[in-house]
Amino acid sequence: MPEDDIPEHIRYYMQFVDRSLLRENLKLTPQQRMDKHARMIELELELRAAGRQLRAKQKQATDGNISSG
Amino acid sequence: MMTPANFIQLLPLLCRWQVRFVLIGGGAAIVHGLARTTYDVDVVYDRAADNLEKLAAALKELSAYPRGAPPGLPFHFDLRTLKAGLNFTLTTTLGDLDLLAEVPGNGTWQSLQEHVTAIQIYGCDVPVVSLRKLIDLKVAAGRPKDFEVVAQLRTLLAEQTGEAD
Repeated sequence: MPEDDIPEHIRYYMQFVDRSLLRENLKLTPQQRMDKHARMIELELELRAAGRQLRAKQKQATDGNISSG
Repeated sequence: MMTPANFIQLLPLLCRWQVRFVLIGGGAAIVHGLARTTYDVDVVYDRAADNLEKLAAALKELSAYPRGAPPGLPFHFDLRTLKAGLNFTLTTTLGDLDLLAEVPGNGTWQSLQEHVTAIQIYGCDVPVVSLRKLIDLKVAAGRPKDFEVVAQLRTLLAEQTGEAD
């Protein structure tokens, strides 16, 4: 796949790709890459859950203020 | 609601049932070194009758169910169901699984065989589509949401082949 074959819009996106992340991944074995991905998903799910908890607390506080005010 | 796929268990399970498949999509991209997350396992599977039987057995173990369908439907992914359909988007006990008979870019199990590498992951040889073919498939899909991924894959290929920045 020569460089010339790359469409202009893809070439545009390519300038923003973080090559350092790719280089770090290329140092890993395929299984290590999968393990890393699993950890990232785990972290993402934990952050989402924390976000949900926070929003619920904020809603509770807001509702409490409305009913007491 | 999405159920992130458990690649660590799902891929060995398919291997254990000796299902003939090729890993494509985000899972293949990660195996090749892409730095992003994906939530489902996309595989192109062989439509031969004996493979459908193995697949049906694997899906039974996974309690596969059509993704997005209302709960409680009397749905069984048995041989008859697999024969009657082609592409299935499923939720399973190990996360979301997309079973594809064919994807744009001439992506049947047979046609992908010359673009597959068996990569040792979690104790089994997982058939993974080559990086070059993965790029072709993404381009053939023609989805704007894939532009960024194609750019990352193309950059990854450049890194692997030693092309300059």
